[in-house]
Amino acid sequence: MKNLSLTLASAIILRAVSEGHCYGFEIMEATGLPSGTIYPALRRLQEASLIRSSYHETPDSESQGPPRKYFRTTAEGERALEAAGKRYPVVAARGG
Amino acid sequence: MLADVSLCRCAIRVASWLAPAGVRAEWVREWNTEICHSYASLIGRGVSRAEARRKLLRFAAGAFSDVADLRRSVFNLEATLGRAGFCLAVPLLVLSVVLVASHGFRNCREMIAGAPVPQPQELLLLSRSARVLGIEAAPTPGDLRAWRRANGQFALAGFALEGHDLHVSANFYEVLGATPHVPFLFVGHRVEAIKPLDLQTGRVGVLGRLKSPTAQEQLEAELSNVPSPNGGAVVTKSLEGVIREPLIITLSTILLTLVVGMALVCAKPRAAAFFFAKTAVAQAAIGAAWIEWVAGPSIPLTGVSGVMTALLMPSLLLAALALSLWYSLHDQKRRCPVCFRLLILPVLIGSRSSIILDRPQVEVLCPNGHGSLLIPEPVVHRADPAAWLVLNESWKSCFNLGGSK
Repeated sequence: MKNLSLTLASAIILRAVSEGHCYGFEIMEATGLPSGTIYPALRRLQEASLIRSSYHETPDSESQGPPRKYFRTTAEGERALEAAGKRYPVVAARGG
Repeated sequence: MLADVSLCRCAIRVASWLAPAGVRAEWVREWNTEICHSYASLIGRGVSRAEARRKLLRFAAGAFSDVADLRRSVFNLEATLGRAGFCLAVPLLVLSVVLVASHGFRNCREMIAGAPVPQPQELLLLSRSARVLGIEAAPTPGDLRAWRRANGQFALAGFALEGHDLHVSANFYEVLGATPHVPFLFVGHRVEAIKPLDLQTGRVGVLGRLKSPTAQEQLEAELSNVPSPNGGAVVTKSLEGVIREPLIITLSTILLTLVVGMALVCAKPRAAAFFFAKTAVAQAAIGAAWIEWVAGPSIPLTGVSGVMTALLMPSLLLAALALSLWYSLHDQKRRCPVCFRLLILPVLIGSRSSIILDRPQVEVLCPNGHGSLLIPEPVVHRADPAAWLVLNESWKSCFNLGGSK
């Protein structure tokens, strides 16, 4: 695992993914952060193995289309999130 | 739906131009699918179409920040320097800098357009040829006075430049045919103030205006009998010719080097076009800088070039262009003939102790796997020509040398 010191924005994004907001647009709506911040952060979190991504068909019938990329946290990501919660109380509060 | 997200997709497409080529398709797919699904999801939740469009536009705007970050994260200096576009971009950038710094190639434009006065082709600069070897000399104030006395038909004006001050005789504007406002550019020299000419010694420029195109010989004949303390006949030169001489010399030298380069490179049409483009742009940048900052300000106002101007400066220009041509040829030899990327990973194969069966040679590879170049090392007295070995498609999977980035 690459040692990554999470910034507040990264921690908030990781928290959102952990809560089940697994698509880029959903994460933007959940966190209120702009997509230009979210995607670079997601890429770094993925490089650090805190999240992983894959393409899959969406379950909801109204959005038929090509497979959509979704993100989910890894076990390492959950541990990092726990550590980030101690550092950033606001992240812990969001999760609580 | 397509109409509602078309603006977003358009923004993604524009942003994708900045994405590294190797990950561009994947990056576009990720953003486009997210936009499509998000739109469907928003509409499914009962959000109005206008509101969905607004939200998605805000979302798509982030693609520019994302792609900038992506480019930073995958930037590969070696791959960038090796790109075919890089060796075109650098001289183009230099040319742009020259364009801006020289106020839009001011001297080049003046040389092409000629002096901004009525009938500039009628203006002549007068000088004297010395008796020994026929070397030209700039006139003195005494010459000007003598020529004026001997010549009744042609108005002759004297002038001299000191720093940015132009000293002119009383009839200068009459001969010139115009009254320029300072500051102005006079034969490549910036004039910031005009003062009366009261020089008794030193050298001056003598400007005359012809009354008809055939009067040049008549003027020379009239003045040829004027006694001069230093002797020699009168020489007249067209002012336009004097102004345009550096431009003609520069263009001729560039043309010569390009012809020599094209003859030396002996490449297939596509490679020859690439070589021509990169060499021509580089030479244009050198030529433009030369005219703007070296040749333009060195145009002799007296019409007489010193040794520096007449011999040394064209030689230096030729040397600079020849150096650029040499580098261009050298660069061409180190590039893949298919994609024009710089060849990488030089490996010495063979043995320096063997000159018959296992001769030493350096192998360099195309980063995109188009082939390898075998460059024999010089043995005994000279090296054999380098050999390009084409690699077929089956080799492609072995290459991941940063070529696609």
